[in-house]
Amino acid sequence: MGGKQWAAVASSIVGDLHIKKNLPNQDAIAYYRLPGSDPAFVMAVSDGHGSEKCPRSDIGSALAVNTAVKVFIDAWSVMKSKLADSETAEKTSALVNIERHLRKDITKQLVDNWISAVETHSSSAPFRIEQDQTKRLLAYGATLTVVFLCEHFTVCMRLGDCELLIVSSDLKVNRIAPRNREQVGEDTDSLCMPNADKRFSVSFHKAGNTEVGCGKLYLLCSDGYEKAFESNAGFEQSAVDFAKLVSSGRGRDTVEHELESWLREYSNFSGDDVSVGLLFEKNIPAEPIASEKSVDKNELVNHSVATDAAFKEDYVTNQSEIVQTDHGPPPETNNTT
Amino acid sequence: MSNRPGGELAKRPLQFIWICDCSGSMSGKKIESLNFAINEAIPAMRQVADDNPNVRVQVRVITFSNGAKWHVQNPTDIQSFAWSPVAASGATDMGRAIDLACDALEIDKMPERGLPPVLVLISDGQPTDNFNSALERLVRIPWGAKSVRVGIAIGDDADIGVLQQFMGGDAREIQPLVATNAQDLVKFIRWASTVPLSAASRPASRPEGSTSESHVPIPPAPQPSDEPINPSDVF
Repeated sequence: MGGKQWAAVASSIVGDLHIKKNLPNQDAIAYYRLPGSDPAFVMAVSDGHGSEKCPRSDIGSALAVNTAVKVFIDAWSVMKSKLADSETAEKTSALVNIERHLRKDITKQLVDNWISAVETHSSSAPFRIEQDQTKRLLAYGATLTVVFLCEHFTVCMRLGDCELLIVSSDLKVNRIAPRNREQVGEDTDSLCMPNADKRFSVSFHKAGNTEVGCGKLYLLCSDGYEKAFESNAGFEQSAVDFAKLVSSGRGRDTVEHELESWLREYSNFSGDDVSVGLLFEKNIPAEPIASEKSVDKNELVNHSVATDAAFKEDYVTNQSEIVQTDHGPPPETNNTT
Repeated sequence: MSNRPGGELAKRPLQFIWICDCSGSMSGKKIESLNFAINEAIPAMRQVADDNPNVRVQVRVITFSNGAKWHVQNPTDIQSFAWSPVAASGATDMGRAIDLACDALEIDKMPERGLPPVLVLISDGQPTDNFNSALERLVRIPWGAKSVRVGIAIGDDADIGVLQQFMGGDAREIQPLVATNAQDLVKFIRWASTVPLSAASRPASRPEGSTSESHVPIPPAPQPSDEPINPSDVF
């Protein structure tokens, strides 16, 4: 993957069912290009459950993608130092340790930090009736799917029903931890479940070793996108079509321009909120990394979710770097009983 | 023509299955009322479908007496569905009817992106076959376990316990509806045809196994009428 440059496009819209129920978009999607000499990217999508028992799941999903980006920013700062300037043998060993770290520690950090963010938010916006932690977390319940890629490896993490499709250079589609056919209906794994970190499906690939490692395009989406298609084949075809589009002349412009209207079309069929994020190889010589807009990491990390208002401001402030699309206003403080 | 990426898009199918007791004890006013009530409920079901344009409501019908059979086997869009009256005679092989529903709910028979099916069981009596093993099968198969199930009892002789079991035992929020007269049957069938259908059409995701309650919350059922009833309408 060395030398590859990556670009991202993402959009999210609120679906008809939630418009009718006067609910905000329960999805959240974020991506972040990590500054530095090594190209690295993280993208995360989350789908809040949106049921009566989850009245704050729109906030839960936003916290989830924000948490994921922050966790990988911190993790990458450590990981890249272990990989930099390593000889081949050392790098192989380092990658083994990194994979173990991602599978065990990072999944736990994603859950723990999300819980911490939820607790901070619920402290600043208390429920009308005090809830135990199980109900508090359920109120913010959301899924999380993340992809992180750098020149050394790619890791995909999936908890719940947000999907991740990977298109290889020869336009084959790989699907990360697809639901098995026995999993029907709307039940899903969630960050709010006990031992949620153990429920992540994690897929780790050294650069160039597998089709996934050679991914040309990564498509992350909420289930409102997937369920709009008549079949799995049509769903997977969409990733191939996107890959072809973004690699064609003005295809990327077309995608950026049309994505939201396409999402509206998909939502007309699934009825649900629809979010799609595309992470793809640039097909033109990339401009020097130094010219890319970068973010002061401390500025990003130090934003705390103190109140609903501050929370919203946090995302608005970072909108050019962390994309938080179409996230509606936080819901009223409700009790969840 | 749209240059939208991906294959064909489709509304999410939702199968609604009537499971109707056509045993001999249903003869006369009960079966007449059942035919009338379901026919009356169809426009309201169409309205629910219109209100949920992302859902394709498809109706099927099973009848049971001596054995069970499909009265309407092919999933039929509610907009083109017409009720053809059923007749009553024979035993109450409710278990066979549940088995028939199970056959249709097997994974490979159901659409990939379907919504939870709605099953409405209407009976005036007690099963004359092995109901329990059929019910065990129903709750074991994935789409059966996720189905929204409503039971309507006709008259005082109906086995409420069996209908409650069908609906998922005491843990479920709603109880079987008991119609002791024609007016209540019309009301309950209309409710069962529309409210659970509407709820199943607008599912929210939820953490797997998070609560013991139904995965599709159903609003409270109507109460029996407290208005004076014409004695000739009492079952």
